[in-house]
Amino acid sequence: MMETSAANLRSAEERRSTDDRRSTDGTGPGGLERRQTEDRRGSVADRRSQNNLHLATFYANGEFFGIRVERVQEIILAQERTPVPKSDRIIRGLVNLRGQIVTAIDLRRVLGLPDLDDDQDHVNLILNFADGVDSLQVDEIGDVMEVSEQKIEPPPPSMTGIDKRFVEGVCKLDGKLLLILDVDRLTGRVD
Amino acid sequence: MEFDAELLKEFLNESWDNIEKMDNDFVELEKNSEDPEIITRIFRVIHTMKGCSGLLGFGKLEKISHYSEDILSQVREGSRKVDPPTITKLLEAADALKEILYQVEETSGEGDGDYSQLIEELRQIAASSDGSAAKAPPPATVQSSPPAETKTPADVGEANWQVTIRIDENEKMPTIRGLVVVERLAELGTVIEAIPDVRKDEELATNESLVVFLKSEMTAAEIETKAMLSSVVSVELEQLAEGQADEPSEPEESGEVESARAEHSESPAQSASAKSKVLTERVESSIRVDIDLIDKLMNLVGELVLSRNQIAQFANTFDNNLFTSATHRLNLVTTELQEGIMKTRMQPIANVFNRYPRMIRDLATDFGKQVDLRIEGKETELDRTLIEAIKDPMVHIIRNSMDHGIETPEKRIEAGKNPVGSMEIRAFHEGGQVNIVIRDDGAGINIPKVKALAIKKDLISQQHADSMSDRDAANLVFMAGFSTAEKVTAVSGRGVGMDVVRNNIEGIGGSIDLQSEMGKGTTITVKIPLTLAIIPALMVDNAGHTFAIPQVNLTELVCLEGNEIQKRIEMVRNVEVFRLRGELLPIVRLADVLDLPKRPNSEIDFLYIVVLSSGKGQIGLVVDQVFDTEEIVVKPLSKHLKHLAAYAGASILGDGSVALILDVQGIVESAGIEFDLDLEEARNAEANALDNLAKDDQQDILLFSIGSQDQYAIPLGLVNRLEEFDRSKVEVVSGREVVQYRGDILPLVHPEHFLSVSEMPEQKGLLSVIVFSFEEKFVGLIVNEILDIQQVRADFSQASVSEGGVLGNAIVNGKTTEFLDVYQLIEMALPSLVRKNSNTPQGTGRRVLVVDDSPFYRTMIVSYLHSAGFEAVEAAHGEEALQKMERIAVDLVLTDLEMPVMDGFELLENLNEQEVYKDIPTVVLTTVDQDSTRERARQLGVDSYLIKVDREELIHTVDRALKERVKS
Repeated sequence: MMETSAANLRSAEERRSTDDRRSTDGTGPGGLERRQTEDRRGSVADRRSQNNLHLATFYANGEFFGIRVERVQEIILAQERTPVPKSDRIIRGLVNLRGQIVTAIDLRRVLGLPDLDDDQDHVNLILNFADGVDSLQVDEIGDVMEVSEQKIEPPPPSMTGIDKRFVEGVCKLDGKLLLILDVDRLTGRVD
Repeated sequence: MEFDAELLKEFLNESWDNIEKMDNDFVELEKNSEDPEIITRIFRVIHTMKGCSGLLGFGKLEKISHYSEDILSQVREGSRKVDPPTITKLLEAADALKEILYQVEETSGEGDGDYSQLIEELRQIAASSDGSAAKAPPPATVQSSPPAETKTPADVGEANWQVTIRIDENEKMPTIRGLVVVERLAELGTVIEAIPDVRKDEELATNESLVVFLKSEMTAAEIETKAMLSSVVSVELEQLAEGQADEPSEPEESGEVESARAEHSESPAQSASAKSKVLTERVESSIRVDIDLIDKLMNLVGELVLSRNQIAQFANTFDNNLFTSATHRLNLVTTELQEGIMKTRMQPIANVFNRYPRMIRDLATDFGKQVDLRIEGKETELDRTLIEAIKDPMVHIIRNSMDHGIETPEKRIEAGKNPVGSMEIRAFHEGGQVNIVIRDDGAGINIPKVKALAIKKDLISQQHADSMSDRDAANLVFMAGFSTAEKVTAVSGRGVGMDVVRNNIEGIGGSIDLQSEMGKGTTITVKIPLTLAIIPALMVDNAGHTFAIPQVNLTELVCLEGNEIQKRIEMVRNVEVFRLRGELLPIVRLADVLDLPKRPNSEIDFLYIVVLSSGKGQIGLVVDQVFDTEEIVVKPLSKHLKHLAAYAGASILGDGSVALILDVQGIVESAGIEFDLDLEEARNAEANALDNLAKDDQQDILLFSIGSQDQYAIPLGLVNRLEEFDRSKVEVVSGREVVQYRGDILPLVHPEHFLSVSEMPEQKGLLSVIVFSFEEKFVGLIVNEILDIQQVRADFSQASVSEGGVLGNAIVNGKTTEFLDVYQLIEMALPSLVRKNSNTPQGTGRRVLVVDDSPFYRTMIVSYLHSAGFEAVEAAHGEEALQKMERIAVDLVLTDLEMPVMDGFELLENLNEQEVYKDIPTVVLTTVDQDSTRERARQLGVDSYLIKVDREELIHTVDRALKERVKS
């Protein structure tokens, strides 16, 4: 099992932890205030990085997506999946993650995008939840990006092709649009 | 009061642990009265003690802890300040608790100490709303009165003794005798305490020990001589360690004050301090471990098992001796570690069973019934979580049995039964499972009434009810929405039916079955797995998917070949069925259940049917391929998949891949199999034809070879499993070959050592072993090759007496085939196994007349009876039986029903008519399972009606029938 972007993630991890130590309760705009975690409580404020989000980015069907980096435990290459007959379409199977059985969810199928042509090339983001981990299957992994919260806007009403329920915000970058996904919704933890 | 020793021990262990911790907490509290955590800790201890002591009926403990709890609760809520008087009072209460606990430990009773003053004071404090203890009487902390019996102050030469005196139980005045002993001991030094305190007019009960704490400079022998009076049976002396009795717990106390206090037992809290000192130094032989830690270890071991499996698989492809042997060691250590960890979670079922005698007596009193309870197999161990899980269902079953099963003495006398009902609870291990059998000899289940009620409640149709067998009808009580109680009683009618019992049992991977005979009693069999974490499972394949089927649901495997598939799979009203030994088995295709691609029958060369049983019935699950069994670690499915009823979880296999574990109950349900109407109908229509078949002495036999040429056979019903073992896995333990098998040791028997056969050829490859279960143990019979399984009509001829281990022979497939007497073989090979086991009743020479027209059955039954120490006489039909009985006295008649010349019914009628035979117990052993014949046998006063020949069941039944006749 090879772990890609490990360096990226590690640096993200480091940055995040320094950020954690400095940032206040993130009371940013537009539905993004759900960032307070236990360790952040009572920490000292630092105005300069207060409103910056760290996002793990990736691609699916040519679209550019991001997930808050703290929700990502690790990234692994395509694994042998054990399909689960009769399960929901979005579930591609079960994966053995070092002895832990993880359910693999296909992002394309969740978002209603066409299946990847060569399914073998996908990458899995292992996402952390209070009740365990899930694996989110995407096409390709990108960098960890730091984005100012001021630049994040609610999804435009004109957005089509992707179910808006799963998009918690969009961020305009040079020439492309970064869609920030709500992993709790994606994985069916919040309706 | 009478308590179960185990329960009491547990209570004491827990209480001492807690109290010892609490002492420290109190000290902390004095220093830091604001710490809410300390208060909560103390509160919890007291609270637990209140609960437990209330449960055990220790009124004083309960009261003291109750009011202490009230006070602590006020402190916790902040409505009361922690001031010194409050703490002092609480400490006093704690000391009193210790003192009573000490009494409980010694005498199983609370003793005669009077704590009413303390209780009253505590109550007042608790009731005082101003939050101070000022209104309470000043605590009796300082004792100033001089010691009355103190001879000398403590000095260097003195030692502390605990003298335990037992007085003859025939002594009329044990208290007076005890007083004399104490007075005499007082002459030798200082009596710190006597328990019970006979000097204060506390009674010394017959059989109770008098314990005296003595401070003296005399030697042990001198003390003993002094105490040894007439009527004193024994004097035990134990020298207490330095400081145990004379070093005060509080630094300001002196030995002198302490001995003075001992004289003032009206202040019990203080005299207790002397004892608590002794107690705090008790040596611990066990430790308490957090169950979470054990769970974590268990998980880790599960992981280790997986890694071991992976490495073992890797080792097979890797030709390196060092690596292979290292793998072998890893394998052994892992297995042992796994067992060790499992054992830490294992508890004897006694923890649950021990509550029953009391419970049943109470219930009997409530219902005005009389019951004689017999409990067997208390020592049977199973996983702690499972023990917890069966508690409630068991209580429910017992209550039901007491409420609806056992009749009142009047009714019993009316029915010609012993007025005292009997209930038997038996636990034993079998095939990796724990079986619990609850049997009563009560009224049994009123089948027509059950059917009527089920119809009324729309649970079944009239048509279905008519065609239903008694056994199936009895099991209707497990259906949701069913309750047989005519009136809802406080005891068993609390809105929880037997359906909940079944759900609970099945929820832990177990099964429950009920058998009942009206007027005779009810037998409920509960089967549960030993543990939940690691289970044996059969691996199967369907359309390229690997699935695991828990062994616990697996009954047998059937493989159909070629045109047999078309022939033996029939359609009954759009349901595929398979006829398995006369029973119609609904066929479920796993491919259908899971929407997998299906192959038509015509394209299949081998059809694998996995026969599965769930509480709702039996099904034959068709899969593409059957692999081996594996020990798998059960992992739960994530929330995305939990709703899928077909799966019970997932597991990681040896190659690292993930396999889904099938949930048999879920599959039965999702396949929508109705175990009624169609099938029942069909079943009945076939019944007659099948009876005829059965009469023809048809046998399913397993053919195999021992030695080079010889063909041997055994009835398939005796075979537990067929296994193949790697020869390298065979170990030699004290001169005997064994292999590790399902976490146990499987002794191997070489039949060629006992039979006159040509030498076994040198074998390579895997070792073929037939596994039998023998008196709850597995035994393996090594054979050369498994040849076939066949249904034959054997022209059987009995063996001459000289041939041990052989029942007889017959021609099968044109070859002379010897039928082995497996049990005799095992007895010859492993005499220790036979003798060691005391669970199976021993016949001790009682004589059973076996009446059966089939020489094969007869021979087999006789061999079973012999193996259990019964004598047996044979007869081929009723008339011969009667002739034999004229000459030979027999203790029991075991008869078939269908026989030439004189059939079983006629024989039974004959026996009933003749005065001399009327009291001989009778057991029917037949292949005819029809309500009408059962009913007829019942009318003829048959003690038991057995269907299939299972050695254990047969012997137990015969034994029971004999015993019951003796009793009544």
